[in-house]
Amino acid sequence: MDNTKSSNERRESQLVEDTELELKSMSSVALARVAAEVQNNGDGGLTSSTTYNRTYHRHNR
Amino acid sequence: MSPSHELLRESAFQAIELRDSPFRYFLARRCLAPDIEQSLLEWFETHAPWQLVETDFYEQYEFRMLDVALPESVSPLISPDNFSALRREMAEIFDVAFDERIMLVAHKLVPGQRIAIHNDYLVGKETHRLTIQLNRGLRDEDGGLFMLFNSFEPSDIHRIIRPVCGSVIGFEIGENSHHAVSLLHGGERYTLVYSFYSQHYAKRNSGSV
Repeated sequence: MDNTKSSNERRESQLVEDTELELKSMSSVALARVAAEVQNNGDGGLTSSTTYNRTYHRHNR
Repeated sequence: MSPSHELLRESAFQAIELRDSPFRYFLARRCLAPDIEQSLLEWFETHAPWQLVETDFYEQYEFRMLDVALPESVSPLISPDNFSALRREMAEIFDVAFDERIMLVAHKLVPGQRIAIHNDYLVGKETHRLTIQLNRGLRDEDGGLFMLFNSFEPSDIHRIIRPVCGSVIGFEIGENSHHAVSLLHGGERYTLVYSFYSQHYAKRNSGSV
């Protein structure tokens, strides 16, 4: 059981290492750039998540 | 049915990371066997019926997989057995009972396209997503990064996930499931997007919704 758990933990750790781009490794400039890239400027993209038209935020069709 | 087309239990239950905050989501190493990944990629790159969709907050090519005649090599993706297996795996991971409906859409991003922050939330519609990345290998500088947020504020980044080919992100749709895909600078980024509908929305939170 312990061996299985350790194996699973190693797999999970490897998964994260392979797929995650560590925020701490990114410069503030790079973070600001990707944040700007995904700014939602649509009519529904108001500043509050409680005020926008939710249908506007449905991506998948 | 060939086992190569089935969800790999190894990915669903071992190489998986499940988080509850800022919304429920998981990452997994793999969902499809490599042979069908390659078949899909080849079809996506050559004959798939992509249609450009442009809105104020995203631009991408897409089509509904269930509305087209799939090549024989990828048709097992939409078989009832595979849908049942996926539904079962998602139900176990999220501890939710799903109804029979599953929607499957393919997305393609090319350089210059992105998907701005949004949450997919629409009351009474699909409740969970499963996304599978397909590409020929994207570098960090190619962009197309899957971003998860703590709020609707784009600088309030929770995590950034690389679109590693074959990797999986599943999440529960809700008011807080803010996510986005950063601008693609190079390559082509394909995604299979499955949508599920819970029978009793988030039974682990029963009474709250």
